[in-house]
Amino acid sequence: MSNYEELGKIPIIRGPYPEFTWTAVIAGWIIGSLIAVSVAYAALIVGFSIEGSELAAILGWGLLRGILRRRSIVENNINQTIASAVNGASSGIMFSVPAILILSKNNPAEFGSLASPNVPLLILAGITGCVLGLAFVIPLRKQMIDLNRLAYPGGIAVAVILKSPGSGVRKAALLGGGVVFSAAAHFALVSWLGSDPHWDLGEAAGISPMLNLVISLSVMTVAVGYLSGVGGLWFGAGGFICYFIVGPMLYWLHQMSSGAWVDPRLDAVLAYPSEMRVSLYRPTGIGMLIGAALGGIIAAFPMIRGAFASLSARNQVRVDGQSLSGDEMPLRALYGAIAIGSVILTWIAFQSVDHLGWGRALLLSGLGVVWIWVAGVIVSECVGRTNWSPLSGMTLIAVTLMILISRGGLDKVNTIVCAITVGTAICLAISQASDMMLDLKAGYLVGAIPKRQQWAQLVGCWLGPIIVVVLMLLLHEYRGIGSESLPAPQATALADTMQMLVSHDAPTHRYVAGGILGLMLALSGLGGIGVLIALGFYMPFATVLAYTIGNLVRLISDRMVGKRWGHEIGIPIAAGLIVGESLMGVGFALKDIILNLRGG
Amino acid sequence: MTHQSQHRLTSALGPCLLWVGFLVGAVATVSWLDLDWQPGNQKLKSQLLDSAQLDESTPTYSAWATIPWITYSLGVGLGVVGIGMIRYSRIRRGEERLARTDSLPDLRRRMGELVSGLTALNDNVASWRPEQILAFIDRECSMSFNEFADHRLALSDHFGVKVYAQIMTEVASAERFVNRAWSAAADGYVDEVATSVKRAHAHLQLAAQQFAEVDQR
Repeated sequence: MSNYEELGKIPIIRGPYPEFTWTAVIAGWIIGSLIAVSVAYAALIVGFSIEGSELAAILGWGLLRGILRRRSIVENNINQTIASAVNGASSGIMFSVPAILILSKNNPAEFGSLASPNVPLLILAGITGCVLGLAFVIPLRKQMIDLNRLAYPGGIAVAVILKSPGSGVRKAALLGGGVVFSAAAHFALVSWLGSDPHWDLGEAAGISPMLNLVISLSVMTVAVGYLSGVGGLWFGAGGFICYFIVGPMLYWLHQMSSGAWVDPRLDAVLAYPSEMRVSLYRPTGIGMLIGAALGGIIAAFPMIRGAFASLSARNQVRVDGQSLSGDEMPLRALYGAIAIGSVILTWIAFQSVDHLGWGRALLLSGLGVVWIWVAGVIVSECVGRTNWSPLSGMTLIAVTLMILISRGGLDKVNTIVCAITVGTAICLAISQASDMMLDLKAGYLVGAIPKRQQWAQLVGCWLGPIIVVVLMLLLHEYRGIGSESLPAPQATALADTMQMLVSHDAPTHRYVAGGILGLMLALSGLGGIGVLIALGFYMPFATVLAYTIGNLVRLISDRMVGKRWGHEIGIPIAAGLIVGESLMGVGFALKDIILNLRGG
Repeated sequence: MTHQSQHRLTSALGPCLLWVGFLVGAVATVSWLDLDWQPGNQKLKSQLLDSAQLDESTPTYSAWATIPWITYSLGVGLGVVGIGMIRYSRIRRGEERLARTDSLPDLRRRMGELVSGLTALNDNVASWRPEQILAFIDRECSMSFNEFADHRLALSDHFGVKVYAQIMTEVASAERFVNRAWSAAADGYVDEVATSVKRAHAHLQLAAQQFAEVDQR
């Protein structure tokens, strides 16, 4: 029997249920700004960005419920949606803007002028990208959440946090227990084994390093796998295909042909799986992701058409004889936003450098807008199925496309300026798209009205680019991005790639070959396995292994103790495990920042 | 060979060809490194330099030549034949399943359970305390929605994706409003609970009506 049976504990309140309130908006802006600044700064030091939705939900819980004594789960959902929309800028900008600042610092003779970018134009590009990304992804809510019922493990975790005040003592204890255990485990592992704790199972068991049996010691990753369920096993399959089938096959072919059928260097390189991943599996995985996502769109076209038809149809549901207004944003408004956004993006491209014609500006923005849609779908689907976003890969392709188009008529500096200005818009669009879908899933689980959440995202998204672009420029001015104190690893990698791209070619051959393979898997009719297998090629195998353990735990627990156990006990614990490690990760980043400030 | 054994062979051969084709394509894609490739790992770099396997000069041919396209095309070709077989056997299997219609009574039962659960909630929402509403939703509604969702693909098998999209849109809206009723009950906003339950009930009734219409056809 449930623990709600003790009657009279919940005070009865009459009147409207607070949802989209000024309190939620202002709290969302404040919390979001705090998270965006912290996450963006931490990303310049540790090299990765942190998903803000869970953190925003917890801080909102403390502020709205704890300090302001407000009682509304859906109001906190709006606050969390706004805050994570503000924070979305940090993951969108952490690759792009710092990359040009690093280029200007590393090679002042050639790229010195990049140190003074056109700030208003960059911010406008960021905001335009945010609106475009949202306008493209909002109509897909029905298809991804209502019809395909993608898991969105991060969205589930957010919903569990939002619902925890009403879930009774037992579920709150499970959530809290998960948080404490996960935070303690992460603290112990990082203190003992360093910032990226892993266990080399292969070395311990004397197995060939080619099989890459290294497992990430992250209870959060296992918990994400648990929330994704059995469907996530294909993600693991992608990793196993790389290291347990393709790798040994290459080795065998090398032995059979004495290096005639495969590259002779592979004989040595196969023993270094991270080299194999960076040089071969990752670019192939990026191509497969694109092919699989495009194939998925083609295969799901009748369903997407059905979802769009239901969006544009008049609401048939009547309550007390009254037809109800729609819960979704009108398609006409979204199409209008796309049209206006595209025009502004063309103007931005034209204004970004002196010698760019309107034709090339139109081409840049046209291709940019198409890529926003494709990459938005890819990233939203990946986050929905696994909680991992291939944002850096999609950014790389965006910047590559922009450089390939603009370099024909411009010098190196102008090519980079133009590519980064439009590329910033694309990065932010993709980042906002995946954040929106994750928040919409959380909203679905707490019963939020989608239209209100979509407005909330728009209300929050403009603030992030302003804060993060200004922060990046200030940090570069006073500390120097790319220096010892702010190494910005991801942005440094993008800066190197851009420098290479303006003189050489990208691994387009592997993108194309991977793309056809991904398309093939998607068109086989086996659901979304193409995207999952592609992601298995793309991600480090240590993470894939830990995630697969979570899938298997869910499979076994569903079979042995039933699905209800999973919903009642397993999911709150898993949500707690995700939150605990995330919070401890933020704690470690803050510690690094404080030590860094003292040292600096 | 009988039709049935032919069908069984196609069902088994299709996925095999798809995966063999995929693997051949994947191996071909990653079988050669780019000519100007440089390892990031210093130990590997010195190992390759010692064995004179690292060339730091500018490559003399296109990076596209590092993929053996004939082998690759053979793999993709096998995969495409596999896809054809999978799709053919899926159509046959769908026809057989439609002929048996064994999943329809199951779907009808689950839809009936959902409607009766929400009707009971709708009838009692005004008189129940929020604690009772939370307990009822957790006990009677949440799992029923999950179970219906687990079997939802039978809808597209029987009636096509358009009908699937119509019915699941209403079921999902009903579930979302039940979730809203849960949140409002946990916070004590009883008027919102009543409105949300009524709305969920209306969406589910429309889904049940659409399901009954296509079922009768």
